[in-house]
Amino acid sequence: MIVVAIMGSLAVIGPNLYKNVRRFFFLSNARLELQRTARTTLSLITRQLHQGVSSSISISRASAGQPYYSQITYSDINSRQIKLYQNGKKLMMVVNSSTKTLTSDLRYLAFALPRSEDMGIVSVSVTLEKSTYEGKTKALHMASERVRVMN
Amino acid sequence: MMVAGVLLTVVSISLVGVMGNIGRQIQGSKSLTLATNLAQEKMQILKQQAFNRILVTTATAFLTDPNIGTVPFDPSYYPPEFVFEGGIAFQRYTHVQVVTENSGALSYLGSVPDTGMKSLVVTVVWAQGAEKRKVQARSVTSNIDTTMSNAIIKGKITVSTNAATGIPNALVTMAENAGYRDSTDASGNFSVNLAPGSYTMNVTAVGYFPYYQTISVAPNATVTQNVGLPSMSSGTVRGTAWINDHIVISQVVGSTLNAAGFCQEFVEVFNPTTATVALNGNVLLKYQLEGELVPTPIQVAYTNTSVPAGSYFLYANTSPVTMNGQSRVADAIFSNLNAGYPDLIHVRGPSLCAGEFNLGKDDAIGLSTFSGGWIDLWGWSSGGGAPEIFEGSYFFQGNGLRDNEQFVRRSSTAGVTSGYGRAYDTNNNNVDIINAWPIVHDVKNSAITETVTTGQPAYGAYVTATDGLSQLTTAVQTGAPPYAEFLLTSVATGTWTVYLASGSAMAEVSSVTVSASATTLIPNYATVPTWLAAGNNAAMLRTEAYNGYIAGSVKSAFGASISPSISINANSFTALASVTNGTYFISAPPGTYDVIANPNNLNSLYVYQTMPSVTVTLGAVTNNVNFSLFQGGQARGFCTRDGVNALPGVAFEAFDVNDISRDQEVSSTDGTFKLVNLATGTYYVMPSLEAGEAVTPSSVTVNITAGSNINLGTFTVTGAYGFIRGSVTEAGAAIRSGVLVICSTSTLASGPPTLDNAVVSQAAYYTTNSVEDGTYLLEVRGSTVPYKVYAYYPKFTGSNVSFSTGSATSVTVTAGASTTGVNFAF
Repeated sequence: MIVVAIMGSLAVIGPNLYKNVRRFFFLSNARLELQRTARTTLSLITRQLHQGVSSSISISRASAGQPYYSQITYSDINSRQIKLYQNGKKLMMVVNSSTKTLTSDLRYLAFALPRSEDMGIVSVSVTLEKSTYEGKTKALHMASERVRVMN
Repeated sequence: MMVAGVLLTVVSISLVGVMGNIGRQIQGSKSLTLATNLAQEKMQILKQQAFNRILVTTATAFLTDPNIGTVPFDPSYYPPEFVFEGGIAFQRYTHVQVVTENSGALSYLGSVPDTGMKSLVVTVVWAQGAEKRKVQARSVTSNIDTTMSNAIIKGKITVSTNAATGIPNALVTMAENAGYRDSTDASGNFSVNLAPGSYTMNVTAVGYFPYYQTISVAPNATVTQNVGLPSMSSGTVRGTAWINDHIVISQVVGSTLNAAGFCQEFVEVFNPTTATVALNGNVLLKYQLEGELVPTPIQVAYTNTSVPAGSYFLYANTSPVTMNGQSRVADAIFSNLNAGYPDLIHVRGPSLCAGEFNLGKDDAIGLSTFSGGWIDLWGWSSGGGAPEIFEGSYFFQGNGLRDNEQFVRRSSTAGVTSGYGRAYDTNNNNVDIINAWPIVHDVKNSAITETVTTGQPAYGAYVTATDGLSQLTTAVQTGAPPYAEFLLTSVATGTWTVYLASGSAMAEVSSVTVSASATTLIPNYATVPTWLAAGNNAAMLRTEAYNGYIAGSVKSAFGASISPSISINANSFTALASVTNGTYFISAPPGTYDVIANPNNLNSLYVYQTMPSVTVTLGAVTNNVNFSLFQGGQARGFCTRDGVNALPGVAFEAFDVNDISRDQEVSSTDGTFKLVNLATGTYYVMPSLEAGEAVTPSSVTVNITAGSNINLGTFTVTGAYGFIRGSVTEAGAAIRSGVLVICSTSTLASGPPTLDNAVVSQAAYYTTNSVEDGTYLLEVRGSTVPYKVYAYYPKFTGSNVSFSTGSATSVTVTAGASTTGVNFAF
């Protein structure tokens, strides 16, 4: 009788409990991954921008379908042509002709000149977003930084 | 079913716990990474500014928390910032100090004239559960334009009697700029790189008299200045330390007949403190026989309700008490409601008093508060047993309390001395009490005041002097009966102040004159305060709030005391330096303080000086916080955006004739600024401008004399920045993913233009991104032409991007001010 009661209770509660536990772990992992990716990405962008030549900077967008100021092109101190841009949910980086995807979870990317008469300071804002279990919850992480273009 | 319920509960609780722990681990790692990045970002923002625009913290505030310690920060120029990132609320604190290199190490100088180097500390604090966490980034920035290093003063510091013997670790400082300093090496050599000019060279070394010399150095020149320091002779300072913070029982008599044949008994109390103590309603007299479980309060009728400082109080079963040829009126009389009245305190052995025989053996009497805590306690024994309560060891003379016998508290270690208060209190009854049988000592009441020469020995009290040579020492237990004696050795010859501190009590003995190889007993007839009784070298520590202490001196650049006296502040705790010898003493709660001498230039003839991050410990003296002030004056001005209206937030600097920045202030909300820390001399004053800003006049030359307060007139800065603030929302909720905000005087009908060198040279476009809490901040130049502000909010449908656009027109921005409420709802 008791065994039947235990089995019955577990059968009723177990699936929901399992689902919630799974959702919790997915959400936690997604947030952690986004935070790491956002910081890694931003760190890479700022490192590259530091080496840029400010007079060569151009801020625009990759195409009419992309957000404003979601692309920056410039040349660095070693005369390499750098381009960072948004393509849908992807953040792309092009160094000379070599292209790579920095992340596929992009929600927002914008390059701003806080004071346009001083192109030596660029503000970068990156937001990553990831759907999680059953598509019901989305993890979001935003990171921004003001970067000094050194040259 | 019940078992099932229990099992499920256990499983659920375990799961919640496990998930909570995992969540905390993840959150902790995430918080640390984000905090580190925020600290680094702020550091980068600071270092992006020109050196002169990085404002030195002039009034440090401290954030104190048991988990993160003490965090200094600037509440004025760089107020704490609240940053919301990754769902976590961070606070970011900034602190800027002038630093200098001293023999290979950095010296932190707080706010002093420019040295060409500034220390930047950014601390990010967040809450993790109930506890605070912090991450700190430190860096040093230097002025690439500084001209400080083109002159050198160098030399060797030696013993005056032998030029070959160098003095190591001597400190060589230019009084006009504490940043110009060096410590001598093992051979006594020093070298100070500094700006050309005239300075007051100040040389100090432990064990030697200080040296002051005016010295000038020309641009690109090296001046050699060797100095021979006369060594200090030393002596010893010695004395005893006592604390008196409560009333004590000073005499008990259980039975003595008066002339009328009445069997008198009484308890005498002494007040060794410096304040009157109220007894009625505050203090209970209690008596406990051997074998009784609890003491019994003795009910009394008060004639006097309090005991004055240094006086006695007489509880008795009759009044007056006649004894030993004297008659004293009782201050409180035992009530006849007490059981056994009038015989409450029993004696052992035969007695002339009826019914007393052999009742008292191992009894106790005490003073307690109404809440039950003991103030003082006496227990005695006949040898057959032990009293129920006592202090240390009960008093034991083998007979208990006898007829016509008195138990009396010692006046001092020497015993009971008429004229000196019965105050000796080691918290040990068998040491503190002596007996006389038959009675020989007087009975005293509140009409009698006696000199207090002892009390509780202040074992462990800290003792220090202002001579700069001796080391901190403590009072130690010595003698039998014991007392607390201090021996401060190697005290430089001269006249000094000695401080004693123990817990919440302290004493200051000034005008202590020390002679070579001699011992000075203090207090003595020449000290302040003088001794309490001739030949009695007992320092009395008085109870204060629960504080620690800061001690030091304030002197002129030439080592002289300053009159009118200089005020010294440690936050709201203040003191005045002695006009005689320059010493000061501040009592303040434990913590970290920026100590400021001459705040707000209260003595207008001198500049102010800050000693940063002075730590105060409970009951201890932080000594040798010394200041050397030079004479100076002030200059003030008014900063406007149009010749009339105030422009706040503009940094003004005073440069000396060698282009060295000597003071830096920021215009306040009313546009005024005041340069207060200028040594006498000629300066030119000008604002430190951002790119695109212009000022009229470009600079003003001013000649500062001691005590001067010169009006520089009005500076008009054009092209200065103001701010636009607002929020971005969607369906009433803050947009957390980011919105691009652009401000321009142009109309952006077909979206914002590509920004490149050619475009921005034609027109200004100010751009920013909203942050995670759905707000934004745009920095734009103040303009009489209204701005247009546009917001672009990108959204995804699958992988396709769409935009929502918002705009606001006719947004006016005033230089130095914020235009708020420019909100966008999508």
